[in-house]
Amino acid sequence: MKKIILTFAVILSLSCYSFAQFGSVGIVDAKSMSLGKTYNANTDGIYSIGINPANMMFSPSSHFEFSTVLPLPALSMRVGTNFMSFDDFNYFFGGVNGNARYLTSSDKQKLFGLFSNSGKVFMNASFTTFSAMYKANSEVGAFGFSMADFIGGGFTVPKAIVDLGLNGNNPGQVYSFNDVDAQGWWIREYSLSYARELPEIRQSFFDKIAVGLSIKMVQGFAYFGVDHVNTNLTTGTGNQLSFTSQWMIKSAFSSDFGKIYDYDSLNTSKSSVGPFLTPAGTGVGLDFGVSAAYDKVWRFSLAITDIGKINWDQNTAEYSGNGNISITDLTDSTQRQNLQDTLRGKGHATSGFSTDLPTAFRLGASYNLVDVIPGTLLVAMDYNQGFNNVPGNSKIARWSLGADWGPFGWLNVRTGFSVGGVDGFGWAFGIGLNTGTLEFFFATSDMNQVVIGNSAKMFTVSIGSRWNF
Amino acid sequence: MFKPHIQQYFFIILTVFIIQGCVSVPSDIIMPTWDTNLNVPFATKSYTLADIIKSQNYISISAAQDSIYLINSDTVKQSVSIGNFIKVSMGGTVSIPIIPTDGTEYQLTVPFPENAELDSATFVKGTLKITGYNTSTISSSVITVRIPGIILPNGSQATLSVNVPINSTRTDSLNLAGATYLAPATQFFPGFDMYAKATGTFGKVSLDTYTSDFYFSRVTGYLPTKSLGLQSSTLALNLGDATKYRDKVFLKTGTLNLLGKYVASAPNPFVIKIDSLKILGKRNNSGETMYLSYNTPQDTFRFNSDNTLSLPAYTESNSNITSFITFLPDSLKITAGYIMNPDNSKSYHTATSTDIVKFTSNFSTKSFLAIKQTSFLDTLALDMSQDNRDQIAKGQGVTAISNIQNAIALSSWVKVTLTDQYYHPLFVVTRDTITHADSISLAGAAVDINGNVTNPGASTTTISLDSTQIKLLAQSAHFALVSVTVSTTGVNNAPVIIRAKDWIKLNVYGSVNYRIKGDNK
Repeated sequence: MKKIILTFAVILSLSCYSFAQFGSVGIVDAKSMSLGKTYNANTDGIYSIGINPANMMFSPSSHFEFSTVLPLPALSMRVGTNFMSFDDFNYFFGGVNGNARYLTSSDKQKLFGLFSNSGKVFMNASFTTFSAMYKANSEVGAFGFSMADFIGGGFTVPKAIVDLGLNGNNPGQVYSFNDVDAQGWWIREYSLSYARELPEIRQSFFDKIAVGLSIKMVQGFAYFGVDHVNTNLTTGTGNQLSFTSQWMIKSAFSSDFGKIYDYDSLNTSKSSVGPFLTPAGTGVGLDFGVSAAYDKVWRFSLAITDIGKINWDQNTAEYSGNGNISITDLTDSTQRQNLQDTLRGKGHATSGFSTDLPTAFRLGASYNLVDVIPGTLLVAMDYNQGFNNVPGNSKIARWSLGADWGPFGWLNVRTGFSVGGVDGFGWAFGIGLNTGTLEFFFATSDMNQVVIGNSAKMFTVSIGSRWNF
Repeated sequence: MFKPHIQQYFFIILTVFIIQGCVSVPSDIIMPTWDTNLNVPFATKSYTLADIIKSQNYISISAAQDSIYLINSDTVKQSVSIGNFIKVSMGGTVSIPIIPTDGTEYQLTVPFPENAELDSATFVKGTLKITGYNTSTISSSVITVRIPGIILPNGSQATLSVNVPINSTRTDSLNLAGATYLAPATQFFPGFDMYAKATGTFGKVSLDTYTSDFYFSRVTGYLPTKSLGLQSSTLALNLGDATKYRDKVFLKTGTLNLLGKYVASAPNPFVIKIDSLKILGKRNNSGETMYLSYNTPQDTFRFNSDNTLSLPAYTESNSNITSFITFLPDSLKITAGYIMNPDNSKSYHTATSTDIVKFTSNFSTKSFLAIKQTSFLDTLALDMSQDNRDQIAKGQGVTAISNIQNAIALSSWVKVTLTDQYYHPLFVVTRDTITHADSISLAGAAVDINGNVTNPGASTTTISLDSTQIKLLAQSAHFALVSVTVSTTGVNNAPVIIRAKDWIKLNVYGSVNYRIKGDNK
């Protein structure tokens, strides 16, 4: 089971605290990524789905657009750590003349210092198989649909583990492993969105006010997450090792993965993974948003997204360990076995559990500068506040600022900055190519990592294309 | 449409270039290696003496009674044959002054030697001798005697004839070996009835009968008080490793039990008494001997009515048993004289030549001793797998601190030397880092004047092994030569009490400098 979870951790960990159109900090479509994930008051069409469906009303009337795997799939990926750069990696894991590097005291100090702000490893990926939007007119409204997969996960290496591994255990010091974290999932969302203007509201301040609603059917194919950890190690008198261990991991996996759990000896099914898996969990989500245009150049947006839960009720399990163990005698096999059993824990099937969707509050404003510089220039600013810390979300508010400059009709140069959230500062950059019917998007939200070469700790790539009719 | 496509491709390539070209990663990931110090508890153990001294052949533990039998001999058994046969030898002569010559028989009763009164007997050896006298000057005479109670081995009645010439004397004898005797029902007097008759005329015929040295393999009747002689037998004690304590241990308590059992093959045996009992201990190699004796001389004992002989146990209060056990003999020689029917009782009993006395003996000393400072050597094989050795080889240094609380009144010094497979010393493991002594000292518990433990002893030792020594241990060490020197903590070798529940607590902890190596290919 451990290996399987670890494998999923690695596979799914190709993501963590961010997802496409997902949560307050998740990775999004390539166009929004290039603006430093600034999207609340400047998206339109299919890119409004998951952000603020009301924005669909800012597309022209009788407009139809869609995105699929051709010519470029809508794919975003973010891989990296928050502690180790490629330079660091090369230094510590590149060897010396083909041999292992021997770590001196200063090397160990340097390596341990890398974990001073926790040691997160993550990889996120999102893939939109198909999305489409049609806006009839201001009275009928706009309709949208998308089918998108979000795969993500990550883990936090506890600082105490690194300290123990490098420097050993010091008597009297308490080594807490409570900062260990691991969470990941693979979910698929089917979103059905509708938006319309609200001419019923008599007002003359805004050019128009639109509201939108998305209902999502969510399927979960895999989940694992640390529910809680309260584990520490103390070295006492006579080097007595005292472990306090309380932890729990919850998981759920599609039955199409075959046998997953080690306790499930009667299960002999084999893995059979296809494009449409049997879900291990299902849920319903809701997005609601309001947008308003002012003076033809301003747009304001307010939305609450991903209200709902996923109920994991198929193939669910809990692994937990609970105990206080003292090692007073390394030669005592019973003590060693007790420790091993407590740290390893035991698994058992459960009736299920639920996880929140990454509910977020979104607020944004954009301003279209006309005749200031050649071409077009849109400037936008966002505030995103997550209500939980599930993957893609953060209770730490994130602010962002983006600019979209179209010097020519076919080219857009985009950049942006993001601060807050779980990732801190990020400089984004991207370009868009517009052939009229077809648009291409290329972006990275971590241009600051790209330009520093091997000092980078992560990289983000986002591509996409959109057909417009 | 074409131009924008060229530009799109250009930007795709540029993007890939930016991402790929700016980052270099190693072609092979090689895990680094480093040394780390692990502070670990090597061992925390508490042992009672009962745990330490596993019961073995000659040292046993009785945890329930809180006793340790330091030397506990096997129960040894030996049979002593009390005589090859029963003998009555002091014979006599019975005469018949005139034997009728008319063919009638003259009856007389011939007493058994020593006036024994037999109801039945089996002869091993014996002679009936008759001497005939014929005073006739005319004719010779044939004197015939028969003894109805004695049946010869050929099944015939014991009969003897002697032809006595004119005016002569003749003697002849009858060999009674193998003959049996059964007193006829008509016989009323002690001895055996004999009938004699004679032939011839004109003279007087007389007869002398002589009996002596009757040896019986079985006899029932009355036998006078009779010494069966001194008999001795040797019991091997076989104390095994307990002999290591020879000349090194003073014992304060000890017990030797000697139990005799008179085993008779027939019912109603004679009463037996032993005298002149002596128990001699002997060491085989040196030939040294020592007698075990009661403080108050006592060497005569009587078997009980159930034919058992229970000597008072030899204890430290009534004998020199502590010196005797401290002497630790290899064998016990028991010598005793056996007396049958010591009270000269007239009542009838049965004795056979197969009657034996079985001796059962064991001795023990119970956990109350003084040990002079003495050493024991042992060689232990280091049974380590190659995987164990590989793991040990990753160690760069070990420092171990041992805190020992010792509530046993034994001080000891332990020296462990590792050797290669040819017993060539590699290094001393037990060298104290602080005192530089090459052995670990375990202070024994303090005792009062009665030898009772008053306070546990405490010892702290720090031992360090460097990387060179650890490599030697991992690669070359095959044996550990263990030298243990012990002494009791009593003043001037005063005995101390060693109890099964006495304990020793061991707390060994320290740090291991371990080299972490990745599984690099």
